[in-house]
Amino acid sequence: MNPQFNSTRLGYFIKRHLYLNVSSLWIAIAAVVGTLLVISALFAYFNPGTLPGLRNLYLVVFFVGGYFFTSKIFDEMHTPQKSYSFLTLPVSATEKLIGGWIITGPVYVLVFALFMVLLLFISSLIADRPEALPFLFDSNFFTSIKVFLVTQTIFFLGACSFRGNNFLKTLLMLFVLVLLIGMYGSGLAFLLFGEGNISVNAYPADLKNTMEFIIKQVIPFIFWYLLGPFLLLVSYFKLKERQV
Amino acid sequence: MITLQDVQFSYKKNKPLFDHLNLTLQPGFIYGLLGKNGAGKTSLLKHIAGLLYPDAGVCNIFGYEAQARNPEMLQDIFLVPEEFALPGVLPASYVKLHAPFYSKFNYEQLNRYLAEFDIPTDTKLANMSYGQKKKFLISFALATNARLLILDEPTNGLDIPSKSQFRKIMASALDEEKVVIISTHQVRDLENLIDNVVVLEKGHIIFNRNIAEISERMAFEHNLRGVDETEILYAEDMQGRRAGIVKNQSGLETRVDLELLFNGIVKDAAVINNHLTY
Repeated sequence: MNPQFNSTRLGYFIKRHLYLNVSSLWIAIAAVVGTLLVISALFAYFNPGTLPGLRNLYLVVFFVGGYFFTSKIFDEMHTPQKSYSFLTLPVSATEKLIGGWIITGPVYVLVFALFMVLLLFISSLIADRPEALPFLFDSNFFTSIKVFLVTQTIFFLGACSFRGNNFLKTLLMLFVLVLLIGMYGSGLAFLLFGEGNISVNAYPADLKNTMEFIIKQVIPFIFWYLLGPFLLLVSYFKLKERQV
Repeated sequence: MITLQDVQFSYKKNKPLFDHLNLTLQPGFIYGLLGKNGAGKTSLLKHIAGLLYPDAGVCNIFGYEAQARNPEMLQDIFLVPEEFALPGVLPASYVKLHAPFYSKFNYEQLNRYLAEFDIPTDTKLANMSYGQKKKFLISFALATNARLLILDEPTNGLDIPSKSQFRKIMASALDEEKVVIISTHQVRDLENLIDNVVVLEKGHIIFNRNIAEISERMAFEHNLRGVDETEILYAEDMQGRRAGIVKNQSGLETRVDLELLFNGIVKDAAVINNHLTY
């Protein structure tokens, strides 16, 4: 048996985690779905043309709710009276990481998507436009899911790192990081181009090509393929090095 | 076997809690870990359980480094902390969710302990009293058949009948493979239960001896009147009388008064240790 990864143990860990939090999860699902149902019914009844808008509203809730849910996934580890139980549970850091990610990533997406289908189905019936339902799940919808799966790893790292108010602290960290990157970028641009208008067309072609390559090739590659795994790797070390 | 070798640890810089601490614990014994407030008993237990990492040195638990928290090692450790919270589920659900992680878990044993401790099965754990929660967790810990059982102040919150039940259950649960570490301030609760006394003081283990050895070499007197001063190893005032530890010249085993022993060790461990060594 591999001491660091065992699928049976992983299954037990996921089951334990879901069962111990099932009441909070049901309350959260009921509150969110109930609110969205009321809003959807009102919009569909009074303004049947707003179905795509409803889809976008669900996506906003999907993102915010998902980030919040992800931030709370390791709450047990941060509660002084419960952390001993979480940390001495015979489960490896790898299994805790994978288990936590499966719950906040694929399982969350699947459950929310199911409720979204249900809500949109009800809304389309109220709006008397059942034919609009399949068009709501277009390529933008699936791109949004992919963006969520990448960006939720930021909040996953926050869930492993901070000992309380994980969601707000991660947001603050993001804000500070964006601010620092913005300041650094602006400073660099000022040093390179001075106070004049910045136009890559005014500079040699190789600079323009380099900029285009970075923006169109490098940054998307980093975002789609490197960012998520990197943040999960850092989360793994945070879990492994965690003390009470 | 459990070995702590040259362990150094501090919560604050320049204020070490453990300074080259060394400790070896053998299977088949119940160890009573004693120490003053703030001596670091709980921190030591956390090091053994892999919940705190030493700044230097090694904590080796059955061949595994404690801080690696290897699942195979964790299957063989169960920690019952002084303060803990249990989830709002029924005992049966808790067992169903947690028992599969422990390969040697014994359901029959658990039911026996729960019955002996009189734990209600139809009340959610979160709604139980502190003492009931503690008794449930101790029962679960014993049923895991983990080779290392760490109990931090286990008798806190237990009523008088439960304390004697606890002693009875602990004594019956020990076998030659298991190590039990009990840390407590209530030394009277440990009398007739522990096999070894370990005292932690100022970052070091200043005493680690077997009870049989102590009772054979020392006698605990509650009235030292008439005792030759050269025979006295430690003396203190006890309700107007002089009580203390004296040399046991008879060679017959005597009853160990843990409170007197602890006070004697804390006052001058060298005197006690020297007497036991030579």
